[in-house]
Amino acid sequence: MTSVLFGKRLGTLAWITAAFMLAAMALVFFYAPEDADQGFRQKIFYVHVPMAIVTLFGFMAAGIFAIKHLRSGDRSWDVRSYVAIHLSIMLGVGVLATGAIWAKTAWGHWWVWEEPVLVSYLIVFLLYCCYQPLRFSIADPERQSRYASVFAITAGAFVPLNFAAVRLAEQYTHPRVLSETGGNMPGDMRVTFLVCIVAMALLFTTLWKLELTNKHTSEQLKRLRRRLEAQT
Amino acid sequence: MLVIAEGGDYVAAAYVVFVTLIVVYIAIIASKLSRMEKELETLNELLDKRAK
Repeated sequence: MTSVLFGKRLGTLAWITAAFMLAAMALVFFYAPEDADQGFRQKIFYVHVPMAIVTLFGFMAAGIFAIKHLRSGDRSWDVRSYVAIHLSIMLGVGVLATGAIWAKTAWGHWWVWEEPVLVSYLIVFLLYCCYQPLRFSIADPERQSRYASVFAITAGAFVPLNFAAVRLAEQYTHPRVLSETGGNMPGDMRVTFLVCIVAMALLFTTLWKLELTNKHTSEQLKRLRRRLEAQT
Repeated sequence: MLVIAEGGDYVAAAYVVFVTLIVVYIAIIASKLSRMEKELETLNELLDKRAK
């Protein structure tokens, strides 16, 4: 783990992310037309859906990092997996909160239990909420990272099932945003939506790198302190 | 007078939730960073003492 520089090009990435976020907000509020059905309240879609997509990909990426960890035994992959899950859970809170706000203004209810999209996302979110208690209930660092990787792989494989369940569900009350043809949105809405997805993915990557850098630096400091104390 | 579109308060609430989450997250990371800075300072002092 000592040879990895997680913070490399973090500053540049942060500036690119900020530029994309600003562009996305400008497009949402000044370019994208109001939805014929939902009106102005549909603007929630541009923050809620990209955030949901990015968190689900974050969970799957964590599973891939965990596979790399188990195959190589390199603990830096476990840290990557841990941070991806941690960040996805944090943004997952945002997905549930913005989803509830959108549901309230669009349907008049904060939560609809009959809605497959909401419930399947909640199941995925709750599943990952078990990750940290499981991880930190194991004292031995080696076993901890191994068990956490097994969890990340198993849960990561479950995430595509979430997408599949939504696709196969018959009853739709939730607005469907992406169909086989790439969405039923008009061109300007689609452009805005795609910019929002890119901005959210960049934000995720920036925060992921930031937390990785933080963890790496903290680990280095601990080692340095131990070495110094051992010499005294 | 500022005219708020229908559902505008909900839209504002959703975006405020998003921004708050990001700001809180960055604030937590920043506080950890400042703790590490202090620790680095302590280690530097320890090294200085030893050099003397």
